[in-house]
Amino acid sequence: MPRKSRITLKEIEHLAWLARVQLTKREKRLFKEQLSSILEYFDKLDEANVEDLPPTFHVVEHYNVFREDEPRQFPSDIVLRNPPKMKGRFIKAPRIV
Amino acid sequence: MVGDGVKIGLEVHCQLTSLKTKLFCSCPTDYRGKPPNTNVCPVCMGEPGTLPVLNKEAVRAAVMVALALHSKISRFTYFTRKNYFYPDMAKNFQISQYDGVGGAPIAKGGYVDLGNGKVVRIRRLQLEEDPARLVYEGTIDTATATLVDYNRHGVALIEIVTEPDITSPEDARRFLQKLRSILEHLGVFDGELEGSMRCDANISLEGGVRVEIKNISSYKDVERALRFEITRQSSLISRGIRVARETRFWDERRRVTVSLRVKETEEDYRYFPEPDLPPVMITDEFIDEVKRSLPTLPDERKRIFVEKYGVSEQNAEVLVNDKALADFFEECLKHYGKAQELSNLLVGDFLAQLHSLNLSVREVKVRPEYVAKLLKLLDKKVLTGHLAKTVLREMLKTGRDPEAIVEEKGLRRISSREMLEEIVDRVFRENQKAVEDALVNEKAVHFLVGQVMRITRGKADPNLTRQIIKSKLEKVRASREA
Amino acid sequence: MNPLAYSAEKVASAVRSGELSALDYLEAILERLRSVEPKLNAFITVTEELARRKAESIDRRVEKGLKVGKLAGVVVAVKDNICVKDVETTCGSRILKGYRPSYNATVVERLIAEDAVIIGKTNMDEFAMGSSTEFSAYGPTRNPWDLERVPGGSSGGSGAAVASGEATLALGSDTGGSVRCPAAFCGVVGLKPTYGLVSRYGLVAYANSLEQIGPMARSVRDCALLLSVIAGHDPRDSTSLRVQPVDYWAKLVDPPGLEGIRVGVIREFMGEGVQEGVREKVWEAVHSLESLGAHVGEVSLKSLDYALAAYYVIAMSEASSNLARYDGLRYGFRSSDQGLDWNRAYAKTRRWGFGEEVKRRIILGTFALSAGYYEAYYLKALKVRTLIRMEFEKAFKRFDVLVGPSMPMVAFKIGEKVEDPLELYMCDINTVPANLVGIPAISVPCGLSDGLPVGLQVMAPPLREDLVFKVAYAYERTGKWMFQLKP
Repeated sequence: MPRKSRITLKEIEHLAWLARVQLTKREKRLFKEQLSSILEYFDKLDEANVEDLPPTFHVVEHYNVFREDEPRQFPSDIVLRNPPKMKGRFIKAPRIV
Repeated sequence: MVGDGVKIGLEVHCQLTSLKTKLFCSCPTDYRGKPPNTNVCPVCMGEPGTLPVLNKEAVRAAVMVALALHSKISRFTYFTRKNYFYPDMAKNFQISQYDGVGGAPIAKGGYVDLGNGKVVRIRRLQLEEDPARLVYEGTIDTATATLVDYNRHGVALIEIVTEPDITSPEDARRFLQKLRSILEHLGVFDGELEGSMRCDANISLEGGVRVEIKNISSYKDVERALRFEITRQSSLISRGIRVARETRFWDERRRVTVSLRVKETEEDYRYFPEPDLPPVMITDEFIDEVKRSLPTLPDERKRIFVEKYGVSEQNAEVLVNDKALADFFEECLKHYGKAQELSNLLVGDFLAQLHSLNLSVREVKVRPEYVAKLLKLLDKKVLTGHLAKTVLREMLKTGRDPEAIVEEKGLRRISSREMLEEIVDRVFRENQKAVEDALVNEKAVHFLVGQVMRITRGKADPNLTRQIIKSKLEKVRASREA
Repeated sequence: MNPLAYSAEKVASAVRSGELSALDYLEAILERLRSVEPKLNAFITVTEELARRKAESIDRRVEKGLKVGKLAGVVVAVKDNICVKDVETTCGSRILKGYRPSYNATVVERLIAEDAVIIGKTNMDEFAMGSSTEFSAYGPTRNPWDLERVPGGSSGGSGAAVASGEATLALGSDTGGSVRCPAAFCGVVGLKPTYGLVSRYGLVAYANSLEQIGPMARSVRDCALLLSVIAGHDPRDSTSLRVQPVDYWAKLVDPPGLEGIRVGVIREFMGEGVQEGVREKVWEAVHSLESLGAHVGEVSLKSLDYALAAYYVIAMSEASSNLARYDGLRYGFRSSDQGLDWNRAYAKTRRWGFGEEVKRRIILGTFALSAGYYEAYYLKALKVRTLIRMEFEKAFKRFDVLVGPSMPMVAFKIGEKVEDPLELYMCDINTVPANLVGIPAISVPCGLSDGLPVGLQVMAPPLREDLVFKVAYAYERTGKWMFQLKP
């Protein structure tokens, strides 16, 4: 897929939706300019001759890090101090639809 | 209609219920019956700064499943992030496995033999974390809030994706039952546990668009949902309306699929390899070790039932499709040698009665010795087939000794000629018209036998009764001709 | 001598011997903090009471003749993206206001076990995204050397705290230079360890494959001491290296000589993008190394041209996923969502909870991972990462360490670069390569330019912190730079 140097307002709105971050009108306009110039800078990646190289997903080369299947009960009340909204012991989230 | 180009694929999510801890944290998995948000910790709650660590036993269990499904196990398997926002995901991404973008699921390929001549191919097997449980006050579309319980969140799931090889709703159910049996035989899964298996189905008719159905959680429901879909889609097609390619939600209360027009845009999961988890390398030695420790699986067990015990193929298939039933069969066999008769009872009346009593095999309190006794009572003709059904039902309800039940309820077969003759005489007196019919029509004899059975409440020996009736009818005929 | 001038080493041994009361030392620090903190704003939370209780307990144990830890009585500031149980941890963001972790980060557990006295949580660029600590929701931190200037970022609060004597030591985090940058700007020592050497359990994730928690101190010895306490395998972090703990501090030899050490100056780090004064000081430092017996040469790493772009693509992509969890359900800030469905409720919480720079990076990261662009951006960046690794591997065959300036400039004025994100990103040009490759890198002060500190960066192959410390220590012992308490 091609490199992108200009990002459109519509694309920013779509990305904001995917990321669930509401942007103000001002931010959208500001980002359109800023992100376009940042993406232009990212064009540099094209200059690198890396097609045949494998991607580095992990900088550390090790495998098989496991944990034993031994249960440990964490005191749930400590964790439940943090949710802003609860109903009984349930965490309350907004409606789905 | 059904079977006309119907293609069904299933995505089955099964909890690895034999694991004591969740997939990526040490929270216990015994959450059923506990108050909400009890088995939780900073990791499965997605607290900032926490990191996943892979449960060793999950890898072993997944390899066992892969071997049982004849799949090809990946030498290196990786975890991937599936990014999407939803209240059932604490991190708003699920750690899963993906085939692509530098990922490799734990196994690919394989198949399940349905036992009716059909084979369903497996596309892939992957490990992933279970989402949290969402509770709505009311229904999903009327509730003003959603309540979240993270007890289940992070439990290890194995996802089994099939090719669209299934061609009928019954076969879909059969597939799930067979799969459950395989997993139970492996000892990694217990299908009795509520919510332990969930399934999404993809269905297309006559090469048309694929509709996805989510939220199916039982074997019966998968058949119902697919039947409903076939009806719905066929109806649209016959009226010339295009079937929409969409995701629908199975509403198990109303028994319909509902369109989920909740998603406005196509979701983009932005998969990328999970940076916090190094790859897993599965060696041939490990696979061999697991292979050697595998228990007997359903297909092999079926072979044993047929070849060693002489059970019919049909009965054997039904038995091995339910591990608890197959186990029970083998227990009963220790007390009663005639395997085929035993299997007939178990796959026939036994299962039927359980079903009507809404019991599963595991909940049954009947001892294998008692089943053997029941069969022996039948063999000795102390009971008629009809009586045996009644005794069996009582056994299933109370778990008592069949002999005690027979004694208490006076359910012995009436084989005394004298007694039966008296009753037949009475039936003849009370059903004169039927007697006239029976004199000329063979079939009407059956009615008279039925009347005797009714009066004796099923205890009359049917053969003897029929014999007595026939001989009395002969006498009547003879006296009229004279 | 004024206890405020004591090194961590000295504090620990004085407290252990009973010569110095941990509580007295803490009170001296607290007094200093009270006087300079209003000017600096280095802390988001000061944990005075907790610190006092800890200091008191240490003194009691010393009195009873019981054993106390390696950092007994040493006052440590912890960056606010490292979880301290029950203490508000905000990551410099509004979206975590009020969040109190249910657990301690592994490094914090180790500090506590060695009897460090944690004095508070330091200010930072929101979620570690920045190079100046101007992107904090709790106001900027000021550079102790010049209050009109930035202290560097994102661990600016930690850098300022150490430089000003508000703490003996500090922990920062380094994803693209966030420890080395403030170390350079504030005139202190800061190390980014080998990836995997220090546990990330409890470090609030920004870019998982790049970041490490790093020690910050006034001297190389103190830095090594802090590292030896926090480093080592942690079963709770699957990327943690299975290495035996090393006492880096104990291995520092006096007098240090650099005979046989091959030092490579990275040509690309000394280019025209670098301020004249900075280059001058770094060359002077390199000559000092030479006079200690090191063989100095030059090396060109062409792939460094792409390093910044690769770094940002990777970091932003990972960040967009790591920050998805902040939706107001389980912790932190939640906007009022009367009548809103969850999608809109989340979007609103995140709109008010996140600052501009964070939003920028989330949007760009989402873009780089999205269908259709994944190959061209994220995957491509990972391949460039491989290229850079390979070049470094080759370079390390010729040289034991690679050096250059930590930052291309000295501390700039507050507000100077804030309007242009790209300009700010460019500040990281010398620091990101070490994160991409996963190698250890230290910044050690090497002089002043225009009255402001300059940092010398020393990098070594993975797990060769010993080489990094050896060279840095040797330079420090030449006396060309002396730590100065500021303001």
